[in-house]
Amino acid sequence: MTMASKSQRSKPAAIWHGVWPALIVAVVVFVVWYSASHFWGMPKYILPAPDLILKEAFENPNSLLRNGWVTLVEATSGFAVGVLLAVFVALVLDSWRFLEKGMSPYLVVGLNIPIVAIAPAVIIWFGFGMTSKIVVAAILTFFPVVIYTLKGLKAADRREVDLFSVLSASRIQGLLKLRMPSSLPFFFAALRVASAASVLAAVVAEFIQANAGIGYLILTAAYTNNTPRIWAAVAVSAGIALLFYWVVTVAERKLIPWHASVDARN
Amino acid sequence: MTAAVVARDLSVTFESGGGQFQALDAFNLTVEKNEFVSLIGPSGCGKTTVLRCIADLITPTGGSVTVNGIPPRDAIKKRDIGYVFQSATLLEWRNVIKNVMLPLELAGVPRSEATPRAEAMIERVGLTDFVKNYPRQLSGGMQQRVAIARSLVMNPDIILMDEPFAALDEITRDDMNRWLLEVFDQSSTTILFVTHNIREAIMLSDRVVVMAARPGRIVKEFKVTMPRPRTAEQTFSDEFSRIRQAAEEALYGAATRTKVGE
Ligand SMILES: Nc1ncnc2c1ncn2[C@@H]1O[C@H](COP(=O)(O)OP(=O)(O)OP(=O)(O)O)[C@@H](O)[C@H]1O
Ligand SMILES: [Mg+2]
Repeated sequence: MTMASKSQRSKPAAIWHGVWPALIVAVVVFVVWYSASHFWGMPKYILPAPDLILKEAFENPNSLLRNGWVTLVEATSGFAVGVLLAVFVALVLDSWRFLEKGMSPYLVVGLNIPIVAIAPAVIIWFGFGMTSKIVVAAILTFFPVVIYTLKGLKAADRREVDLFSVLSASRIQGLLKLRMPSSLPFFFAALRVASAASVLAAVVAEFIQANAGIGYLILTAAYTNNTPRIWAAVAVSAGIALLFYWVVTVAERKLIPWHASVDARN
Repeated sequence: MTAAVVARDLSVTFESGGGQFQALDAFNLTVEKNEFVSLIGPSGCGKTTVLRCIADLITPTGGSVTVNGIPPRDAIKKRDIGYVFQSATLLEWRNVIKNVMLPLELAGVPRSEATPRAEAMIERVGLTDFVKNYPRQLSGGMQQRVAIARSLVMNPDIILMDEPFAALDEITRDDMNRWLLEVFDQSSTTILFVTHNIREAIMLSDRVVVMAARPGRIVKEFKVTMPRPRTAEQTFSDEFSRIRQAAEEALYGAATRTKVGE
């Protein structure tokens, strides 16, 4: 019944149907927030009125864009480096059981490194430019991706492994045509985690020491008590993270349309 | 002429939960070339285990198996064996044609040759309208037909089929049986077929082998001499009902004997 009513609905109507609850929430939040600031006397240092934040964004777009761009580049570069390295390491460990056994406890340790703890050391090693931020983002990307990918490479169904054995598949064929495709859902789950983590990593590293980026912008605005600017910067960093998440989701939909998790989200 | 499959004094013991479990004991079976043999027996009697030994998925604890006179491992390497598993086992990221092409791909057959061969096979299982569908868009019966097409596409000498039609309804099962008989009559393949269904076993086979459990062993064999091509009318023949009755006796007799023996 629901299937029928869904297919009968036209496309724009369907989109509207999915979007309106979120829109209503946004409007309600905006109205309450606006009233709290302008009519109920909520102090500006707690949360400036939404229109003040927008005003700040439109009056000083350059610094937002310039610093946002820096953070975006740091996060994406770190993400790319981390993913490439993780896939490489996962494939090496996967083909060398001994090394994998030896390494896996340390990978779990790595996954649980609190980012703020490692960032100062990385900045000492790589200076306070963009490189150190890229490295921190890469570290935070690397661990989840390598752990999930290794797990995914073992996720092939026992019966499918038997099938490949009966079909006399070589080791490399088994890797390329069975184990790697089976690992993709795990890989994408990791990418989704890592996409948020790499933005977080870049911003937090900028807090510690930087001369540009969203974290830097937030810090300098905080020194001058410029709360509208802080919140405008927060909005930009959230936008970057969302953009990132969206790209990963679209890639997942294109590359593994067959997987149930993709189907369920449609 | 060497037989297609020879299992001699086959025994398989599994380690299970600290103890040992004898899944097969002194199992002897010879399947001649171009013969259709059914294995029938209660659940857990070791039917799948027999097939897995022949396909080199298990190394038997004792005894020996040869396929076309050579060890299973070599027969697998020569791609002489096709296997239809108890579940369809399709790769979910490949559509129907890509799934059927998998054995050809793994054997290094060029795509230009593989595609028409796979298409022809898919037509034979009646799924031409679904070549682009993914497994989760197919019914269980359709998935099983894809799996059968995949096992036939390499034209193997010997096909091992593990309850391929168990998940199908009666009507589709009859259809598939007719279809399989046609395939068998038109080719020179040898089929070793596992089923729970006595009627199906008799209709398809030259020989029905009844097994019992704990330990897995053969209790009785029946030759089916009804002429081929087989027809539905033959289910009303004297031979059919005689074998059916005897097989039932062997089967349920075997089942109760095991229970009493416990
Ligand atoms: N890998 C294994 N480890 C331990 N025991 C096993 C293993 N594989 C099979 N067995 C046991 O061996 C026995 C025979 O199993 P098998 O799968 O061959 O039975 P089957 O005749 O095919 O049954 P069914 O009709 O239910 O498919 C069963 O009792 C099963 O529990
Ligand atoms: Mg079985």
